[in-house]
Amino acid sequence: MKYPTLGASRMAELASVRLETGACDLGEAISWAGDGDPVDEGPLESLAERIHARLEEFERSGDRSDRDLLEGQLAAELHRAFRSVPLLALDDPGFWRYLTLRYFWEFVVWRESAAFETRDYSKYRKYVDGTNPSECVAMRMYLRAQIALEEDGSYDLAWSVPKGTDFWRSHILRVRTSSSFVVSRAFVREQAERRMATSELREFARRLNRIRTNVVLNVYDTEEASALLSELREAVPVGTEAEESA
Amino acid sequence: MSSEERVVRPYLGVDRIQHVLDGVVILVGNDTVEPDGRLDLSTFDYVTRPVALSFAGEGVPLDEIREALSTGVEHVGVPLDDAELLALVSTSRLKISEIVWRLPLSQIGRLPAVVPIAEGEVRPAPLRTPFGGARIDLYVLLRRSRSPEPLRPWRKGTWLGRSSYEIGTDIGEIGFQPLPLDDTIRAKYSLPSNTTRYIRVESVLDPDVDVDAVELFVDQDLLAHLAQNSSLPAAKAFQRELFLDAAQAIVLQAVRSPELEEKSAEELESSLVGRLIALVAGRVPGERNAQRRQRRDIALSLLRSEPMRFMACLEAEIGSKADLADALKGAQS
Repeated sequence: MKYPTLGASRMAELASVRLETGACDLGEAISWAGDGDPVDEGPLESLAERIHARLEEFERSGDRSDRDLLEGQLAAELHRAFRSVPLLALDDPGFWRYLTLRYFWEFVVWRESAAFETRDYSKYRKYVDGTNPSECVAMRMYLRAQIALEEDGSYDLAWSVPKGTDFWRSHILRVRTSSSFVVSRAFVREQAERRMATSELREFARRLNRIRTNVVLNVYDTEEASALLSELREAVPVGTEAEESA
Repeated sequence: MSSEERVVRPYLGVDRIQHVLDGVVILVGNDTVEPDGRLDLSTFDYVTRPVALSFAGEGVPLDEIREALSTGVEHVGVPLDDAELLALVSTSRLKISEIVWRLPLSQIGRLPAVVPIAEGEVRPAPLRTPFGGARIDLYVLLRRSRSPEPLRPWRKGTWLGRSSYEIGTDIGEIGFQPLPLDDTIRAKYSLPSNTTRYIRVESVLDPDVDVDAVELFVDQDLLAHLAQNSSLPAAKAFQRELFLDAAQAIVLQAVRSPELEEKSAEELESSLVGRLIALVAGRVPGERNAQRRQRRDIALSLLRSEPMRFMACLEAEIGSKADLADALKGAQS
């Protein structure tokens, strides 16, 4: 299947133009990779419309403090819309750059507004250029939903941890445990149900990573993963809520 | 490597198992990958070549391997039914890992000489992701938890032995995706009309900049020929030349950067120039991090003092002679 991509330098040029003027012409900047029929962008266009509507709804709502909550909810929709996208495209940074500029720009700028307000591409590049999977907003959403997706088709875990930006980035997506989906889901469930304060969470994650060096976590089923994490949790000193807000 | 990542093997008697796994290789088409080794392929080869584990490739009788694994596991004090051989294929970019094969040690008599992992289009997801590459790990591990005992493995999933292999794309750890060079691009960059290649590159020392920050433009007609004839020796030779052109552009920009003098190879590790340094330094299976760092610092010194000799070493490392010779002889495949 053929899919559109954007080169890194083109992205840098077009992102700056888009940020300054609110629009940019992707036309000649697009390169096509792969072969055969082009990828069906219909579901992506619908997704972009839904994201736009949800973003407006969120901004009108009373509590607008937890942007990560919306990211988690939209991650599930994004993952569903990507069902027919070939793995080759998902693996390609150029495809994520294209998607970011074509469909997700407003959401990405809103989500990482502090970096975009600098107008400095070196500050916001990691959120748009597709090379860093745990930072590029659209890609990290895809990966988050991929991990959260349970056997019964539920994505609820993707938004089950309130104000979970740092949790998802530092303790799930960036670490090698993230490819053990069952254990990662158990970790998310643990944090959602019995939230750990910062120091406790760090110590817990450290112990889990230490276990991972000697244990292949991919062989664990849901029950075994929960038991392992409960055992680890019992051994970790309890943190305080004061640290949480620190 | 952080302290959390350091591998500690506190168990008694696991050396025998590791010794057996050290002899297992991966077959990728006609190429062989040793434990701790890496093979770099073209994108096409990455997504099409057959991949298999080979347990008895060096003439060692399969029965000896079966026996060595059985006695090794028993030596650790683990019943054969509590241990298994397991192959895991992963790609870090898309966070996907797939268990592609497993065999309880109690059934070691069924161990084949060769275990297929990928064949044509039937391949695990990580072997369909050329940008992220793949890592294949073969383990002997506990398939169920046992009663905890000091210095004895007991937790389910604990590995008693492991061998790892990497498969990546393009040339070395760094590859460049050519972009079509047409009249619009020529006009944009004020290039003569018969220009066939043009390279733009920036931030070669920045660890956050990936290989797609290199814009390698190739005449669109040549690029179409290249895509249609990618398996011909001339096309392979041309791809290697393009790689060297792009690498040279990176080297030239690096040596023009005053900051290069202040950086160690370790600080440059994930930058564009750092990946070239890693290629020139090469890989030694099983070496320690300190040794690898030392070899990379030597390669960095060479880049600073004699950039063209660094390029010569790079060319030698990617082994372009055979393809060039075939291309000059007019070989067809």
